[in-house]
Amino acid sequence: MLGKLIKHEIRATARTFLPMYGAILVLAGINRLLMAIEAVNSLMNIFSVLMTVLYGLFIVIAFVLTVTVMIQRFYRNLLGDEGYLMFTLPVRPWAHIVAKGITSIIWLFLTAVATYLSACILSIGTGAQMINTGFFSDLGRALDRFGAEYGVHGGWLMAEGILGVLLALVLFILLIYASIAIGHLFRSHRVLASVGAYLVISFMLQMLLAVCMISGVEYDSTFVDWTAQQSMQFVVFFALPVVLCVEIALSAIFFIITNQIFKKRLNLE
Amino acid sequence: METLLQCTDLSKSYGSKTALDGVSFSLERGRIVGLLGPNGSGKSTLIKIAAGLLTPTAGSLLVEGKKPGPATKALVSYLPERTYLSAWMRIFDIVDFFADFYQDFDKAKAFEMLDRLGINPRDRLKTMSKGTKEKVQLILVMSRNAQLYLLDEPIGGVDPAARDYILNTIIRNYNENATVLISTHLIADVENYLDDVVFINTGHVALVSSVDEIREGQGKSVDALFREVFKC
Repeated sequence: MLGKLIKHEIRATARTFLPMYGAILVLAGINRLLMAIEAVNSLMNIFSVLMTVLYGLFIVIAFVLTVTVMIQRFYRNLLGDEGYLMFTLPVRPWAHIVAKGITSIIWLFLTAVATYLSACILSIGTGAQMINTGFFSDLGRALDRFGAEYGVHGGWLMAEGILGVLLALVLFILLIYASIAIGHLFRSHRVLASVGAYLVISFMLQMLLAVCMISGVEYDSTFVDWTAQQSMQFVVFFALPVVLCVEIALSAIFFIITNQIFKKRLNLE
Repeated sequence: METLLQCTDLSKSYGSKTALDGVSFSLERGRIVGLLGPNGSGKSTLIKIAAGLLTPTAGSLLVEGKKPGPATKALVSYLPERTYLSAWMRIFDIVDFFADFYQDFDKAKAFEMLDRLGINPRDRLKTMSKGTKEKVQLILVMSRNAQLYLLDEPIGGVDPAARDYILNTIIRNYNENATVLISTHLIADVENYLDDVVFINTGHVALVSSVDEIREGQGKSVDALFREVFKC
């Protein structure tokens, strides 16, 4: 069932994203062509500049749009009129949340890929290396050198970094979903309530972060005597894992909030 | 005769407003039942609870002995009072969607009914009139071989000829072992199609009876009895 939900979710949202990716790639192509042509007069110059600006704008718009579509889709498809269809399907509420979350991540990833590909187009023939065949062996050596210097193989740090970014993304998505679900609990001004919930929870997360950082500073004196290796070991094997666990715990909390509201407090108008 | 739907002391409140108050009745298999009541009497609320869209504040509603959930949703076919399909979808996209999620969906039947209405499956929903959209939704709901059909005001917003078409479609296409619950306030139009009626008013059940009982036993039409019971 989850697979089917994801399939339909992608179909429903592809009609927005695919043209957008097309536009980014086409604009990159146009810019590349303009770069190759000598500007004959000031009009062409202006046009070139315009195209460059437009291209940059489109990249930004693409990411903003990805987040906007994600929010709109969740709100309209589950809590608007279409909710009457979605919530009478023989699936559990958690499947809807997961399907939309996974689809959002897929589109965010593809937007990044489209941006990278457009940069590749821009660099055709300029000698800039976008696809480096020696990339992985270079990376491997860099990580090994890191390990030799700090006593902890660079691979650990990199893995934790990637995982951290992914979890932060998941956390961001689930926070938005939870805010929308909390807004749904109100009888009127639901959108306002959702925005309010988002701001309040974000604020609380910031406070949590500040408290952690301050208490971290408190203990700074103990760390002063540590060697670089000891500090790195602490970061890689204690501090970062703690951060990852907190991200997982918070994600779980937001997921449970959303799921419970859908299970027990659904009230479609 | 098997009980398909059982309401026991069912109550639903939204804050201070009570939509249903201690509703108890049951529906047998193979019956076409009219849930009749004025606007705001709780008909939609009751149907939404049966469809699994709302949770009761008190009491229970069981479909085939189970609380509403994925298991009951697989055997309940629900037609809400509104357009619940995505406007950009083409008809065959929507048919695929239903076929994907409901094992009991009959694609051939759906296309046949659409064809008889002259609806092109390649059309997008947003290009259709309100009446046509409602017919499409009805066709999708009736193309399922469900155990319980919940139709919330299926004839409310359409012209008299379309009403006849809709009611005939319901009769011709439902699974005979199944139960159809039609909620409406247009009594005169539906009473000839009903086996049983449940009168509901301000969240309370006022009457549960078979249509025969009303017509022969009391010598009145259901419409006339309704006007008596719900006199303002």
